[in-house]
Amino acid sequence: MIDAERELIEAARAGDLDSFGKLCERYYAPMVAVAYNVVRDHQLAEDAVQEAFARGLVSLDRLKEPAKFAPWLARICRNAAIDLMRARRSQVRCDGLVPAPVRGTEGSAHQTVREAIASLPADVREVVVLRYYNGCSYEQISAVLGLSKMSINGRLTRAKRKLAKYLRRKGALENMS
Amino acid sequence: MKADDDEIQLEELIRAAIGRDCPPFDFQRWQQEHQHQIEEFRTRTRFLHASGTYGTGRRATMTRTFKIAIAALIFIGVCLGVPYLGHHPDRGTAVAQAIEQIEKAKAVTWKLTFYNHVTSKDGQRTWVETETREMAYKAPGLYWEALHPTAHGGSEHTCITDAVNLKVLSLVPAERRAFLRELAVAGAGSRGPFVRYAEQMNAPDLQWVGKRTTATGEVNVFRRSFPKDGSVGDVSRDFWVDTITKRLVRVQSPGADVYDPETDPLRGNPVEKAWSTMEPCCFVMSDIDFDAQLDDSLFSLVPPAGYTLETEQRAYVTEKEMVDYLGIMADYNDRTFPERPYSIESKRLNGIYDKPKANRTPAEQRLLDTVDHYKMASLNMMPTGHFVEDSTVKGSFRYLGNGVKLGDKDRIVCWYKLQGAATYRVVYGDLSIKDVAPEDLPLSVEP
Repeated sequence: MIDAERELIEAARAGDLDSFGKLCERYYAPMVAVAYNVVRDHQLAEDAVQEAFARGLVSLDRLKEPAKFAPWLARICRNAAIDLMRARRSQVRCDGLVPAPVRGTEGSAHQTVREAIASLPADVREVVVLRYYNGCSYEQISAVLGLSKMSINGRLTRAKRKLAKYLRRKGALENMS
Repeated sequence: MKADDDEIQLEELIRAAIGRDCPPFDFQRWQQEHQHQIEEFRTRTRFLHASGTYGTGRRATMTRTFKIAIAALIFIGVCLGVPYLGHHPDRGTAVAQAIEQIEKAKAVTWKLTFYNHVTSKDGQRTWVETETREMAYKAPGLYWEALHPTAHGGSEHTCITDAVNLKVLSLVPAERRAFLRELAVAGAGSRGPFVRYAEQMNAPDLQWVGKRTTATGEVNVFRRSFPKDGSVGDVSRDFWVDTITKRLVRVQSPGADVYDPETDPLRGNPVEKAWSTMEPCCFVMSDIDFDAQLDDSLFSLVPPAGYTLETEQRAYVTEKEMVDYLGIMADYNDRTFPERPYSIESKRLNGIYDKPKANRTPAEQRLLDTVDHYKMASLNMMPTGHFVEDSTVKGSFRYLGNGVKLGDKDRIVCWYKLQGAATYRVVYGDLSIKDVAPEDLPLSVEP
């Protein structure tokens, strides 16, 4: 963790709301990806992150290890997304959870890719979503998941191998070429 | 090579399927929507500070590099004696003393001057006009304001506002008439007229602009710049602090980087009687006296003998009116509920006002009529703001309507808890309302 971030976390824990805001700005995109991995809907993912930041703010004093701020926030984010999806499923229809069928080759190829990603194990899927949903860097993914870059690279490589296999079997890779 | 190509193609395919440019995080908006949690956070951290849990840890984490960098900056600033990176060597003391003075003040007087660019009826000439008001404040929350006729009319009158009890008395001496109105919200701050400026001066990004000589001595000019998102209303604000007394002597908004009344090239142009447009340029608070001796009678809400008194009770917004307003905004916004529940952005609203009436769509006209109706009733926070403020449990209002289509009976637009109720009222895209238990809401809510 870089010193500037440590300063922000300590300042936020000491009551500086602006510092917490800067941390939120820094981690917003990766957190939306974390939430998207759960809810698979852009708007719901953003709502979940808003909720997660609120939960994070009021429990900041319970963060034991400031060095693990990002993984701690990601955990809150996953839980908020799960709560949100559970509640939505039981309460209201949510068009975004099940992607609407799209006519045409491109739409169906995208649908196949989403199915392929959904078939990955949860921990691997999260790395893929973080990497490709809004282009998080290895550094960001490493900070959010608390994993080494080597480990992230390994998971991504394995994921891509599985995805390629799935998509070739469905003919989606050829369709795009 | 083939393997690389396959990988690139695969990555492109994944990005196309799930990729998205994430919008930036809007912290200001987030704060507005999570005030309850922020309040709780502040309460918790205040407690932790008091109990000494934090503080030493923070000091310990200040790195050596950081300390050296700060020391170097101070050294350069002191050696050069110039506003290096906008920091004045004496800034800490000067600003801290000015802020302390503001926070301590129990009775204050000042002058408020508006500078306007006024254009002639034929649109050919523009000149500067000023309007000055005498102001006084006494804690807690009592304001006195004397307004004078301008070149274009108006009458001498006085307004006395009680920002705590939300009442305003207007006195028109020429007609010996008095109007006592109830306010929906305190237009003037109940904490005093300068407290919010003290908060702005206390920000780390306050910059020292330089020294300036005035009729009463030398001042340090500090400036706070704001993002151009309309959240503050101006892009900058200047604070003049006397170099000797360390007191705030002037507030100017926007700052001189945007508009300087003393160098405005139009300031010498002759004033004409007939005019077509008036554009506000800035306001200045000057002649500030933080030790004013003010008699309580100045702030009396009882009109002088011989005045005719007319009273007006404040208006309230019903739930139906609030929901109708949401529908009117959605109807205007391509039949989609807007990003924010309180109002359509002023830029878009002004765009409708600028159109001739015949060119407005029915949805645009309906929106304007509605906005005008609530403004006339002094309900400037619009129906959503006033309804939430007056009728719901604090912090219970949650807006989820952004992007929801008007008429969608399955999508939630917002929810709130009425005062004294056990359940939440949930408003859907078709403007129907249902009572829902807290545990059945899609997002967790505070008990």
